[in-house]
Amino acid sequence: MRRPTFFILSALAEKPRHGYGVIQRVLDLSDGDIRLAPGTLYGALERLHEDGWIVPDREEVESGRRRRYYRIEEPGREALRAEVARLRRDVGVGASVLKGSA
Amino acid sequence: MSELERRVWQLLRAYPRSWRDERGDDLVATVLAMSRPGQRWPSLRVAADLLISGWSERTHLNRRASGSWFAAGWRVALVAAVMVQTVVAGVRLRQWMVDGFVPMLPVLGAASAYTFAAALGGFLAGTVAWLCRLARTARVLAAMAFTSWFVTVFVFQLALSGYHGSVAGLVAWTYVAALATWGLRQPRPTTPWTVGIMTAAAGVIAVAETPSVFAPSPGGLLGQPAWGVEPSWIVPAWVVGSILAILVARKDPRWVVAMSLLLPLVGLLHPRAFGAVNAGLAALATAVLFTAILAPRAADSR
Repeated sequence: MRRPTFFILSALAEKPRHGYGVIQRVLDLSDGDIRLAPGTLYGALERLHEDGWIVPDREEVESGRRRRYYRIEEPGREALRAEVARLRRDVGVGASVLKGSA
Repeated sequence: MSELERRVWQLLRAYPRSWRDERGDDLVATVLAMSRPGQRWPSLRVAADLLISGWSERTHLNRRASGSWFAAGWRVALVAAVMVQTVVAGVRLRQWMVDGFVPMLPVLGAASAYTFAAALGGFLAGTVAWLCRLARTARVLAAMAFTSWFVTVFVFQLALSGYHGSVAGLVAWTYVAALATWGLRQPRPTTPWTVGIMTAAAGVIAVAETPSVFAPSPGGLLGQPAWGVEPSWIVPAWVVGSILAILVARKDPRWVVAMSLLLPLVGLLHPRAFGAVNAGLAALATAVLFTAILAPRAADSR
């Protein structure tokens, strides 16, 4: 799973968000490391929607414009859990190797 | 409607109309929320992102490879052909390089003539990979084109011949440099051995013409017949093609299909000037296609 995807799913795992909300939360979660551009974000949201990992939650009108909120679905949560488990394993391996070579 | 909003909507014309009707409002709202108070122009980064994403959406290049990957490969090939042909035709790249390197030192000139095939292949392949959003592939191939040609030939050319160059030619290679720079700045940098293999591939293609380098014919490189076939390049071309296919075919078959369609066309572009090189490119394309058919398709990467 690519890093931006991981953080997008993480942002949506907390609560449903619209596009700008996802961009802001990903920036916070990644400590400023990942700055999603809007076009790239919406392309990612499309792909995640196609895969059934996220779905549109609702639409709200703000300042005369429609804002679509997205929420994560169970397959998306499963994928996120699997990725977290994989990263934990990798970190454990790295920590163990470094400790052994110290 | 503010000036910024109006300009963002103009950029959204890169997206299909149906997409704009359904999601345009949301995307514009997001861009406006990201902007500073009083901002009148979208930033360069946002503008480029919208244009590229819209183009990808319009050409379905952002769709994951699926059962229709062959048709998608055709689409990629067509888009890349238009883009590259526009650049090449506009700058008369071949003529610029022929005029530029032929007067140089004989060995360097002959060797650089053959690495041109690798450089052009890398240039083309990098463009195609970029269109397929294969950032890592684009990075490697653009780096190959950039290093094998631009640094070794262009730098030498300016240093040794005092060639001032045409602005258009510089634009073409600036594009390659920009592509390589973009690719190198992507996260997860390419592992060194991959870059090494790709760079070596350029050398393999050049070495494949070794008999001509050390025993040039009276007519020189440019005098070779259009459809001359040199058996010396067959094995290296197959090795290179296999390496390419193993490294990239697993990622996205669209890229392989597109390159297999484009490389023979590139090889046929200027038959009189680059006869043996054309055959080399065509063999490379055949090897890539053949190996790609046999190579398993990989799981998608999100």
